[in-house]
Amino acid sequence: MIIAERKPLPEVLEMLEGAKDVLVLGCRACTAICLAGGEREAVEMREALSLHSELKGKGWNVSALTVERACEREFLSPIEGHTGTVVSMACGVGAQVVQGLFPSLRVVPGVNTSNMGAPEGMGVFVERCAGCGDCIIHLTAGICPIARCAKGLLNGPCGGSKGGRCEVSPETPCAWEQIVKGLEAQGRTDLLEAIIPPRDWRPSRSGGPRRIVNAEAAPGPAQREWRGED
Amino acid sequence: MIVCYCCARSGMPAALRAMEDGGLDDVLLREVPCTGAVEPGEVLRSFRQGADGVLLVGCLLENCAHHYGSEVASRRAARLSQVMSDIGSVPGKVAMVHLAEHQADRFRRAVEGVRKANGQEEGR
Repeated sequence: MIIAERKPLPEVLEMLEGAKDVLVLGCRACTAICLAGGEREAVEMREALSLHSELKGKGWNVSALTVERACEREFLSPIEGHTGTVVSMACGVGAQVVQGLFPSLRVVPGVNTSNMGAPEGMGVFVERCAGCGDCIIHLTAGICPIARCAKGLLNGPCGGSKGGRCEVSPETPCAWEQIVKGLEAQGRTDLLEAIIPPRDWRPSRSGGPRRIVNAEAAPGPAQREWRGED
Repeated sequence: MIVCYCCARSGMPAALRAMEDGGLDDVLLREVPCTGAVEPGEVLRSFRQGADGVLLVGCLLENCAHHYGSEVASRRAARLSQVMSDIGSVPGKVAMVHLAEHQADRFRRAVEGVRKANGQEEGR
């Protein structure tokens, strides 16, 4: 899932200068799970903004709405008719989909979108995938060296691994230590003998914004005509 | 008015004892199953509905019936206090007190602390 954290409130307040109608838009998907932008956080933001408006005489008309997934236009019809500013508690993807669908709205981010990761424990979320576009975790015991090694080494560990920890931060486990242990558990340490060659970075961010087309799902000519999408 | 979200097991009995002695006419008690269950939005809404301060009244940290509910509430109160500060109010308007059901005095002192944060006179 996509990991995000709440933006500091003073930043949000600054972005709302000059606003009148403010809609706080929560998302029940990723940002709800990482406790940054779900219904609960959207309601809290609505109350905080309303209170600020009352205290400072801003005259904001603040409301809140939470949708199933802000990154899919099918779920965004409840926003129709809203004018003014949207504080998006969804990830950066959701915020941009909302902005694209409703160009006249002013969309401001209520969260900082960080990475693709997973919950490690209560309230702890850790990056797990860098979205490099060329997955090789079958060679590395299911552990991504791009996302989880600070240096993104394909053939590790480096000399900075001490006691199973990364030299970048003692809180970060050495990904390659975990890979070695994982391969040992699987009885596949022979994989460590093979050199993983330099990777093709073109499917990664290096190639600019990426576009994936599922040829089966993408509409053909008749479907496009029926949907009026020519 | 100071809205007190009181844990049914510890906070509420302590608050009721304190109320018997008078001087807490500005206190509104709301019973909750655990202070850890108090929603942040609910706390902020209390201010919009006229509260001058909000006090979470929960179990002693080592004695929470829900194990860590009052610990969660304590962190939440600290964060909401910061939120109040961020939106232009004064710090200390949201506070947490940990007590056992017989500690009515501790409840009274916590209310006084919130009053002071609001610049109110003691015993208003």
